[in-house]
Formats: sequence, structure tokens, C-alpha cells
Amino acid sequence: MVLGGFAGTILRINLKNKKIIKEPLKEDQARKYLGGPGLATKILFDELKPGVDPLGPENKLILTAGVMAGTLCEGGGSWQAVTKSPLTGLWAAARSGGFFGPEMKYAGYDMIILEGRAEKPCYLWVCNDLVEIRDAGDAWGKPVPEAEAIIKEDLGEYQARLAIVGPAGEKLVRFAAIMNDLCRAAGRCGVGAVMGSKNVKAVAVRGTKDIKVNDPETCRKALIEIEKAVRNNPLYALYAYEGTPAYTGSLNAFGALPTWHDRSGYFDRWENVSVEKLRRNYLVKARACQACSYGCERYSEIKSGPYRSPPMGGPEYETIDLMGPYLRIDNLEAITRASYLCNIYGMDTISTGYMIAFAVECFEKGLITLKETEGMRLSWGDPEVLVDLTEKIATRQGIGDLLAEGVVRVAEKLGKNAMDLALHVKGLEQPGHSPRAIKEMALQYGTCNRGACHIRYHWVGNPSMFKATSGMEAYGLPDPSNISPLDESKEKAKIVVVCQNCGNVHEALGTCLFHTSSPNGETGLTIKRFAILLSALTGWEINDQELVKAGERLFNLERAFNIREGVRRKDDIIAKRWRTEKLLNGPTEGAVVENYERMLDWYYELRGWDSEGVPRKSKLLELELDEVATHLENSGISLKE
Amino acid sequence: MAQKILAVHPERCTGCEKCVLWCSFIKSKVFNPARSRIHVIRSEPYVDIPMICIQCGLCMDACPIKAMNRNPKTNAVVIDEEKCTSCGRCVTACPYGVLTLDPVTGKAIKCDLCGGDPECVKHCPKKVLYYVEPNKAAYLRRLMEYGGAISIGRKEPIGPPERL
Ligand code: SF4
Repeated sequence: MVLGGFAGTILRINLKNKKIIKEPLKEDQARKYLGGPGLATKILFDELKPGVDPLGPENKLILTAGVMAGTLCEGGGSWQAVTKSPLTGLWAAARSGGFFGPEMKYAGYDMIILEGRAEKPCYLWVCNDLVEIRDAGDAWGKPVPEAEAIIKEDLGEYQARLAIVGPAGEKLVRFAAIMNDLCRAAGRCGVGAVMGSKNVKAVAVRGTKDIKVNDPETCRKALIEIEKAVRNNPLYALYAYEGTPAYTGSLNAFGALPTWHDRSGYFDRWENVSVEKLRRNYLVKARACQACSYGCERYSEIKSGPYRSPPMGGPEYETIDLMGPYLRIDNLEAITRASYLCNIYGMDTISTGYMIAFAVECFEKGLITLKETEGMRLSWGDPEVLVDLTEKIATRQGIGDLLAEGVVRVAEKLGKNAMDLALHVKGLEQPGHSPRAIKEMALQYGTCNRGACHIRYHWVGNPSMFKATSGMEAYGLPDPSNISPLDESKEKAKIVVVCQNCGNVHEALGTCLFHTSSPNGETGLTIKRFAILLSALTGWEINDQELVKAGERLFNLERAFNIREGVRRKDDIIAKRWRTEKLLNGPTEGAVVENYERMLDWYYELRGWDSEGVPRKSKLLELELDEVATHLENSGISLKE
Repeated sequence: MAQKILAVHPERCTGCEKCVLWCSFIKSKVFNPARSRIHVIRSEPYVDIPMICIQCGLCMDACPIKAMNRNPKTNAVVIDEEKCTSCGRCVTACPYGVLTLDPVTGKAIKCDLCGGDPECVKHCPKKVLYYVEPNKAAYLRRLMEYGGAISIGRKEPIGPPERL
């Protein structure tokens, strides 16, 4: 029997002593943790001692692609960077699309583990069986596009695909991204800073090996079925013709578009940052990640004026919101320019936009003064501030040096009531979905293992808002048609639990989240379809229930990692503003998260966790995480039965 | 009726490589772009171009042992793998770089139009590739001149219906 789908080898590179080890992928482990990204979490749990410095040499950075990556599964262009985050100090995984992940598998590796720290700036060259640590030379210090060109030139291999950090990663900006294919980013949680801290500029891969298939005929049928389901998905038109910027209008209409440092969910000048405006004036091309029917990536260009920027992917919805309405800016040219800067410096646009908004509010409240800003007035709606601060953060100049530390560290440093203004969970800054307008989002922010994150749960676009299920009724998702987004009932806790478990399935299998969302189970990439394809690829007889169980197992494993780092109930509490201040303006005016703690209690109960949020022993055993339970107990954490 | 040809509207291509992967999957039962008979050039700032074999037959003339023949039904130049000695002369002759040696078997591989039902065409999500009679291809090309090329914007690209 061939174990198809997987590449079959784990590559471990110790940067300090330059040891390169190739380990075979263990089949039982791969099945238990659903391959690459899931298994990476297990490796991190086993190999990292609690309390290690995320930016120190003891931390490990794992680049990994799931079993579906590189196959024809829709959205199979994905890969993930799994590590301990310098922003949250907790477990982190950042997903990206493009072509890097598949290429890594064609080279023969399911994951590349980077250990230690190189003495001098270097980059890695992985071409089939050849693995080299090479001097980064001139590429160090250069923005992403230039550095990429230098490295390809150095290798003389223009078909190589690179995962690369920009100056922000080198300078350890705590929310630096790892970029690939020029403008695809593993953005959140500062994975780029971890790569920079290891003195690694890039990982270049190129491969000509096979990804095998166990049962080609069943696989062919499953792929055709998936292709049909995705192309008949009502969301197809949205992603193919508009891309994510389409959400600006729709979320605003719901009153869920975070505006003015999330004081409001509605932006009155939203038309100036709408997808229509973007499309008519600046878009030049739509592109896709590998094996994707949508092609949601937008290339835009600002041809002239102060915000001139060459053709580059973006701005995506999150960028537009955080760098636009969130700062009360309605200048799409400035937003595009700032997005371009984030791409070339290699930085998360969400956290960057957030930090600028935070700085403006602190300036308004007198916590940051003209002295710190070197005479620059920070005010709402000023595109100059956006572009200027983006550049300063990336290069750590002036006040940028402070802001590059992420919201929690900055708030601690500023003291007084700065912490009350910080909108984050576990240290990860807020993305562009209003937790007060959509209550399941509040609970998701609170309980997601990487902090305030809107995507590491199943992307049905908030079930209660869009009334969509993606066929998750079969796994316990309540019927969303009668549930209001503002409602804070037990159903919300149920929604979040089911969505997180199911969401972890596609994250671990290595596909894009957009294909999995659909109004119901008829279209879209559902868990059932995943199961059929996975069985055909690998030869395992795996069904959808087993997949969802594995999703739950992974979620608990991530939680166990965080528990070991000291996370408890207090860390699951969302920011004060969301619990106490009412939203201003728009359809959701007056909304506030009133019963957060009660929702959290329900959530813990459904999860099988105790009142402090620690998984019960029975739960861990049920999920076959016996080793993890023993480990936690041995490190002095008492588990309730 | 004239023999159908494989043609492209590169302007619409998003570079997803579905054609590439379907080709390698159908022909070799594995996923491996290096074993595909169609290739996509992706370069910056935003160029995506599928490179196809136009069945010109230059490879046929270059092959020293005459391992290639034209299929009378499809007009495709087809390699006899048994005969191929992996000398690579056909690769040198191909002006488009779409004839390669398979990295696993070492034999020359090229597009054979799947015997008259090209797999790549069936799966292209953006109707970039099409397999039609020459005059229909010319007509579609002319249509492209007014707006069919726009892969962004709401407009559904004009072209042959999707066949899945
Ligand atoms: S939907 Fe967008 S992000 Fe996802 S695979 Fe397709 S192009 Fe990439």
C-alpha cells in the first residue's frame, strides 16, 4: 500500500551546529494529528520546555504543509509556520497560501524544523535531496522583492519558491510576517520575528518528486466532486470577482466593521474604501494560490501621487479595515501604499494597523506626547500618519521602535490606564471583526489558542450573521436561522466549539479556509468531502466523524501547550472596552458583550474543561491524549477528573 | 469539420496551476508539476501564462529514431515511450520549452491532447484554455478584445461552457 498525499520525510536543521537530519514521517502520528500542521503542534509540545524565550535559540520554527497541500484539493496551496509566538508567548500557527507549501512537498518534505540560531545571517536551500545552509550575503537587510531576486540569482534557480522575511523580521518586530510568493504572508503572531531571530533570511525550496496517490480512480472522482461543489458555491462569485475586500461593504451593513479603534461598528464614509472603488480605480489583476478555483488575490497599483505604489497583492479586507475605517481613514490610495509597505518589509497588516490606531488613541489621551512622536501629531483620519508610522514600525525608527513591541508591551510601558485601551486577547491585537456585533466572535477571540483571531475557526463567516452552516449540523452546530448575532445564549458557545473543532480539520489538512464555507453541506469543501479525498489519497479508511474528533484533539493539544505556559481563565477574558462600552452609530449602536463570563462558563462546560479552563483528565483521555495528561500532571498541573 | 485545436487566453489566467496538476495526475497518477505536459509561467509583477504544445511537429523531425508519430484523428504528435532512448534532442528542438524529460522515468513527455479530450481544458476555472475548431478560436480571440480579458470585475468571461 502506498501512503499517498504525504511527502514522507521530516527535515530537521540545526542552525548552530549545522546538523541536518531527515526523519521518516510516522504514519500513526500523521493520522492521529492529521499530518503536517497538527503534528508540528505535537512536536512543539514535546520538544519545547515551558517558559523558553520565543526569540531565543531554544525556540523552534516549523514550516509545514498539510497532506492536501500540493494535491489538487481546492485551496491546497497552503502551508503554516508553527512556533511559540513572540507576541503572545504562547502556541502560534500562521497560515499562508501561494506555492511554497506544495513545492516543499515536491522536494520531499512534510515539514522543515529550524532549531537553534545561526551565527551569521544565512538562508536555506532545499532542492530534493540537497539541503544547504548558505550565506545570506547582500540579501540580508533588503526588502522582500529585492532579497528574493538576489537569492534566486545566487542559486541560479528561478523556479525556487521562497519563504522569506523582510527587514521587519530581521529587526524582530514582534508582529513580523514570513512572506512567500512576494505577497502571500504567514502574518499573525510574529512568526517572521522568530525566523529573523534565528538569523535565517529565507528558506528556498524546489522539488521534482511525486506526491503519490493510493487510489487514483476514487481520488479523481472525489476531486471532480470537490471542484463542482466549490464552483457551484454561491460564494464563488464573491471570491472570484471581488476578493475579500467585498466584506467591507457587507460587514459595514451589519454594523460589524470595526471603526475608530472599535468604538463603532459602522463607517459612514465606507463607500470610499469599498470594493467597487478599489476595483474601478486600482485593481490590475486577480491571481490564485495553487489549485484554487477562486483566485481571490488582488493585485493593485497606484500609478501616481504621493501614495504611488507598484503592482502588488492586496489590500485584503482585513488590511482595508484596520488601516482604513479603524483609523477613520477613507483614502484607499494611502491604504494600498501602507499594504504595499507591509508586504515589502514583511509585516502583519492587521497588527500594524492596530498599533497605529492604539498610538493615535494614546496620543489623544495624552499617554503618548509630542516628545515621543518627535513632533508628529497623531490624529484620526490622517493618511500621512498611517504611511509614516508603518514605515517607522518596520524599520524601528523613533516611536516605531516602541510600537513594534505589540500592544501589551506598549501598554505596560505607558502605564496609567493604557491597558484599558488595549484591544487584544492574550497579546494578539484585534482583527477586523466586531466582537460586540457578532457575539460568537467575542467568544472566539477569547478562546482561540493564538489570541484574538478571527480565522482559526471554521470560516462560515459567522453562522448567526450569514445564516450559513457548511454542513456542520452533523457535528452539532445549532441551526443558525433563528439565532441573532447579538444573542448571548448557550447556543453561541456551541457554535464556537463546533466551528473550532471543524476549523482545525482544514487547518491541519492544509487547505484554505475560504473553500470550506458555504450556506449548507451541498456546496463547498465539507468535512465529508475531505474524508473521501483523504481516504483515497492515503489509503486510510477515515470518516468525517474521525476527522472532527482529530480537530478537537488538536484544539486541546494547543490548549495544553498554553496551559503549561500558565494560561488560565483570566487570559480568556476579552478586552474591557468590549465588555463595558457601547458601540456608537450604525445598526448595532448600543451593543456590548454583557454576559461574557457566562458564555465562557458554557463554553468550558461543552469543552469538558474545568472552571479555570484546564482540560479535564477524562477529556484528554477520551481524545487519546494520555501522554499529554501525564506530562501536565508531572509538571505540577492538577487535572480534574 | 476542421480538427480542433488547443488555444489560450492568457489574459484571464490566475496562475492556479490546476491544468498542470491535472495533467500530471491523469498521465502519471501522481501530483508533480515537473511531470506535467503543460506549464504555467508565473513571474512578477503579475504575469501568468500557460505554455501549451501547439503540435508543430519540430520534435518529430528532430528525433533520430523516429519515436514520434502524428495521430491522424487528433493531429497530436505522440511519443512511443518504448522506443524513446531519452537522448533529449526533441527537447532541444521544442521552441516553447513544453517538451521535457520525465524526472522519474527519463522518457520524453509531451502533450498528446489526451486523445481528443484534453483534461486541462475541462478543469480550468477561468476558461483560459479551450479546445475548439480554429475558426471558433479566432472568433473567441476577437471577442477577447472587448473586455473578455477582464478577470477582475463581475463579468463572467466569455468562452466555451464549462464541462465538468
Ligand atoms: S481563495 Fe484566495 S487565499 Fe484561498 S487558495 Fe484561493 S487564492 Fe489562495
